Amino acid sequence: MIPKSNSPTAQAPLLQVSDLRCAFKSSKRKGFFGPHHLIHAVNGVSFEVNAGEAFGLVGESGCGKSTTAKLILNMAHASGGSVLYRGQELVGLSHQAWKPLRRRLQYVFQDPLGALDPRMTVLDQVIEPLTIHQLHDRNQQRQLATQLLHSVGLQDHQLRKYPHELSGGQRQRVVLARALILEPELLICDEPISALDVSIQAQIINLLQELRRAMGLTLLFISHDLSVVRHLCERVAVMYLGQIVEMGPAKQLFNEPRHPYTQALISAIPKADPGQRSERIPLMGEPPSPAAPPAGCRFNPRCALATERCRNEVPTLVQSGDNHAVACFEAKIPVTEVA
Amino acid sequence: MQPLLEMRNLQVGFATELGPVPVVRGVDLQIGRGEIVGLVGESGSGKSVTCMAAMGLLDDNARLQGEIRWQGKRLATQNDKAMSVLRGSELAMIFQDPMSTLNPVQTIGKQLYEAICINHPERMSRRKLQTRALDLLRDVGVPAPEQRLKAYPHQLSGGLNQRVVIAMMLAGNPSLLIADEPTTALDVTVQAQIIELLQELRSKRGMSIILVTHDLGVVAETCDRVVVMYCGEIVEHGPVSKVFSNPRHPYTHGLLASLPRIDSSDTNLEPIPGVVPHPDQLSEGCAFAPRCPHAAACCYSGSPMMQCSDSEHLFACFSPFPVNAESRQAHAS
Repeated sequence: MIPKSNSPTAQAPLLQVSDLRCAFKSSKRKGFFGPHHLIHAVNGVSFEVNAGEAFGLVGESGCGKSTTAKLILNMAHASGGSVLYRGQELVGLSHQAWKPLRRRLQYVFQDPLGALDPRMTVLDQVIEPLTIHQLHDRNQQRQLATQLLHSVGLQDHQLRKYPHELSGGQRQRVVLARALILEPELLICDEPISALDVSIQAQIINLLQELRRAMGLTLLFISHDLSVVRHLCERVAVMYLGQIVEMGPAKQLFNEPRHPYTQALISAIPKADPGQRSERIPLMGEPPSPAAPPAGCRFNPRCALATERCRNEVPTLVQSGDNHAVACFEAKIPVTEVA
Repeated sequence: MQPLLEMRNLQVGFATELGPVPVVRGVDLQIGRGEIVGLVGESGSGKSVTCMAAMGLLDDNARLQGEIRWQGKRLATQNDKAMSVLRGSELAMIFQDPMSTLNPVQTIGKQLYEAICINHPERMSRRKLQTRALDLLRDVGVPAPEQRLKAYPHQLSGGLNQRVVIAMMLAGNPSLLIADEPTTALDVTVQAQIIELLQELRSKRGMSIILVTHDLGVVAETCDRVVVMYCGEIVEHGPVSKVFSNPRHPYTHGLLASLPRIDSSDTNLEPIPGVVPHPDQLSEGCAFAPRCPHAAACCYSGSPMMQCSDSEHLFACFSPFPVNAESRQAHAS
């Protein structure tokens, strides 16, 4: 058994990401023999996830949220920065050293059919991680897997089925069970419900909340759907072009967004309430390519508030007293709350 | 006034190895001029098949019954020459993924010229074609259209590609656009731009739009009427404001209750239990009964007929949600 912790203090965050960077080589070169262009998919991302909380990472496609998750799990190569998990550095860890850690950190992908083995029954899929980590004997494995599958809402007659025989929601339940069978501390969910129908989405959201309560899970929840994140998470970080532009308690961030990008993003969400058509903050154009980010603040070409300073200087994430951080020169921070 | 498109008791089944499977089971629908009608329901509820039937795009193994009328005239549906004339010039359809609509090995310009030529029987000069294509791209708000003509679809973003598809569709100046999940593959900020564009098409050109979507938020913000489908049937139908503020059918109610709201996180989500049944496993009676919290004995024996909540708001249920106080007041005043 791995010791659960090396006596961390109660306040120390479970996961501490600081200045994480990832650059991909582009196929384009400077000149004929020149160096490849670099695409900075994740460019200096820092955040902390405390034990037991649900942390949301939101942003539009291409903002680097999935890459961030993959960097944490060593599924992509970080070009800089550090990821501390209970004080242990994860960046640059060998494959061997990772193996026991994989039990503690599990990942759920968007497409459940892609994550499941088409030739294994549901029960076998959930037993497999236990076999890989050489836990329990065969009988116990079967018992544990059956129990867990029941608690994610699958019935006995479904355990002998193959993934293609299940519906999308049921498959995602199997994927969840397979991630949870190892009793992880941190579950990273990358768009786990985007491929599902609304009513099934709600079933999975409720299931995640129940499991969190029952198992004391810590959740890093990645999504482009802000309403879901608001519903599920206590703290939220908003990413734009590889950087975090705003971070804070979910309620506060959604009620009083401070970064102009967050404001536009929230106003763009259609509300299922015909009475109150909200005033939209129009966002011109589309996110620029991370291959050629603009100078200064990365949001300045689309920002209505942009000034000369925004075009030249890069704003840093500044935290105010209420744990609400924003990277913007023009953001209105309530005066009383500035630390 | 005569509706633009009318469906009467439309039924579509597919012939399979195991016998016919009914997918659309008696849909009555009217689309008027300049209306945006939302078609919602979970996947497998028959929304797309209904639209494909109207476009005459169903596969050969489809069996179609009932009537589809275009401006009062009955449509010759399957693979008919008359149908292909109508397609593009009167009826147009756009799909979820613009990349699969566009040809990846042809430039945007070439594809636009093709769309324009098909809808203009007389030969156009190259210069005229180009002017027309640029006009279309400007109409749909593509920035720097001159450069885009030479670009290939993979060089443009999803939002721009969807605009190009809409531009191609506009070449025929159709009166009805069927948009099947046009914004599902796009980010929220881009989705907002596309929705604005669709609304503009309606207000400037008087185009009618059928918006097929699973996003109730999009429906609430853009549509005049909403049609809720379940297992190939319409279960509720009415003006968006009435259906959303006072859903009568438990299915509509369930869809709304399972939606997380951005403006409040305190309410609990109440998902609809279970899943949509497979079309060949439908039981007797109301198709929703096995998942319905209100289901009574009668729901398992007979199919509920459409009934009126008021003159515009219809639903098909034996034990509907009551008319709530708010809308009763609104009705009285």
